[in-house]
Amino acid sequence: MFNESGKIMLRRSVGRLLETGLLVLAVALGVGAAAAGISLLAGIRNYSNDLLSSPEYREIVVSTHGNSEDMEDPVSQKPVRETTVLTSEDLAAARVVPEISYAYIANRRMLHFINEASVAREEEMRQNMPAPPEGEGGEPGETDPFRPLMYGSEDLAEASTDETILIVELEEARGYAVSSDFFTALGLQAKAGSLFTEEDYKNPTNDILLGADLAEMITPEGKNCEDLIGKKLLARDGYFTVTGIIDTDNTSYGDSFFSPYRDGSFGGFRMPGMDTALRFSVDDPKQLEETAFLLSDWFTSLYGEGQITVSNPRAEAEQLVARNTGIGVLILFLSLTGLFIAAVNVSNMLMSRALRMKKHVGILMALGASRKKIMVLFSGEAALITGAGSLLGALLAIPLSRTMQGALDVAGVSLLYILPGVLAAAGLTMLFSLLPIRRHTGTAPAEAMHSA
Amino acid sequence: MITLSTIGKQYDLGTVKIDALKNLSLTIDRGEYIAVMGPSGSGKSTLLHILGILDTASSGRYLLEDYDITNLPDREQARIRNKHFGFIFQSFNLFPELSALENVMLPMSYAGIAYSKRKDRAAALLEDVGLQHRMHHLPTMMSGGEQQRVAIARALSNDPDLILADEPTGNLPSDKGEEILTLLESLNQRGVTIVMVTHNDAQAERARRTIHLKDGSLLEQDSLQGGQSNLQASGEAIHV
Repeated sequence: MFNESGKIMLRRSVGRLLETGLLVLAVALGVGAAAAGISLLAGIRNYSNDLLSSPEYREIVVSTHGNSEDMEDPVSQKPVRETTVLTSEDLAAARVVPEISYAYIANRRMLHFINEASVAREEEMRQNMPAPPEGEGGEPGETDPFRPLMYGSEDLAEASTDETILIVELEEARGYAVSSDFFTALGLQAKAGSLFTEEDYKNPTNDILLGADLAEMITPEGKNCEDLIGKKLLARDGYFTVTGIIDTDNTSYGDSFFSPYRDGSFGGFRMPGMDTALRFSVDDPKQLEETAFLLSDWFTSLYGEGQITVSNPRAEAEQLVARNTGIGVLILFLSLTGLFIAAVNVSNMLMSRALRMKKHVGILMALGASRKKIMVLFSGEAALITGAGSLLGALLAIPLSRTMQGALDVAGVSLLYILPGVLAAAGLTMLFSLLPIRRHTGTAPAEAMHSA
Repeated sequence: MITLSTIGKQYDLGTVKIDALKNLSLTIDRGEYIAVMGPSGSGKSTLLHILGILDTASSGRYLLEDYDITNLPDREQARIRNKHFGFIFQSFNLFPELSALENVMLPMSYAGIAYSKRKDRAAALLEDVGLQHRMHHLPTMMSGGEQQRVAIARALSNDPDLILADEPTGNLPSDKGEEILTLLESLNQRGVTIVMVTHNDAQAERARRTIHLKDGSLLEQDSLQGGQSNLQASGEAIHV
């Protein structure tokens, strides 16, 4: 594998194991830190691009004060009158702003499934509840009308015998009550079954659509997701019939369900759980600010000053992206500084090794080695050290990168970003290693042989 | 075989310039055995380095078989060193990481000889110098005399036209030195040209020609065949 001159270098490296080990470690630390830094910044950029290109960040959210408090996206709080309620009719505001492409509602909701575990929990709760005071309520054993609705194991057993009913083992599922434009605005399509029809939005039905991941989770063993179509899911609010499964690849809706939105306002009074956030999406994010301004004007003229909150989630996301990018750049700068220091030290150590070998270089040249061959020989040694260090550095970079990405909440970014980081850092280290070697091989053989 | 014409070598030490060789002219024929003598600093080693293209002359002309090699590119110089010259040093200059066999194989690897061929040839050469039982030993496990015999085998590995020996017995006890000289003489008898730097008059007398250097100039040459000492002015070509 190695010729005689290669054996000299290899045996020297092995003979100076501590020194070689320190060199490899220095390269590993430098490369590891730099690769993690590069990977982090690349990850942040990728994550930010994905985040900002998602449809949710090309929309303006209009909500009442009470509703905005429930939202994850921070918005400025304004005093509101408690009776203001937004309904699907308010989506008509889209006509005021030509830039708006879609207007829809996506209210969060939950489904609490009934299954053996939930029934056991409820029965335990029932037993632990205090008995009604004497003289109040009905006869012993009679159901207390103020207690929450309970489901017994008999009910569950009865449901289990019905082939059209699917008992879901999950405790609960998160989902959205959506208006008709929701699926179009987000580009979501049914991979099985069908989307809601206009009739579904108008008439009260208990039809639901499932995100692909949720469908996968609740599909019984040995069955396909498509087999869920037409099945009824037993939940506290009743039975929900699955009419379709949504293709949710590359979205955050995989584990969600969707039901048709219906206005819940009653006589113009704000009712708990009936409040609604309206979403107006535009094609070009640059138009968001102006759209927000126009919508704010519109709703202020409609409901009065301070009744409605108009928020731009993209602005908050952009602030988050800017903060993360800043931190990423700082970490990259620090890690590159570490790499530079490591590379300079490696360069010095290799220079020292090369100086100690100067006489031997002269002898090799006397025996017929050209400068190019000597260069290749030393480069081989530098490449071996850089290669081993980079491999170790890549292994260090993986947990380091994960930790940093976790700290900045950009986890889930592909670790493949470490690879270009390792290559770039290894290239820099190699360059620093070759500089002293190049200088070293410029000496005449006679002069080199006279070195100690 | 070799013609040096008005070769000069100057070392620039910043404020001081030292003339290690001054207008030296010399001709070496194939099959010669030349001893180079002179006091320390007279330019003996510099002459040897110029002859072996281990250093380049500051002025003058170097012809090898009528081929001007004064200013060749590095790659060509390396090829000529590898193919035409064999070096024997006072401190042996073997690689401690390599066995005797591998040390002898080393110059052949630069000549592009296949592993099995260079291994066979290295083994044969070590056998020639009486070290067949030490082939796989590291230099550190060998005596000075044995190490120098490995160095001689290494110098012969590419069947060179000229052996350049820089005080080859300088680090050896007299009996071992005698063995090395006998070996060199036998090589010369087989047709190998030898140029040997030495301080030892007795060793120089065993050469066919002796060159005396002083202050970088060729002072005189003695020819065994002529049985007389010819004083030459520096700058004149000498051919015996």
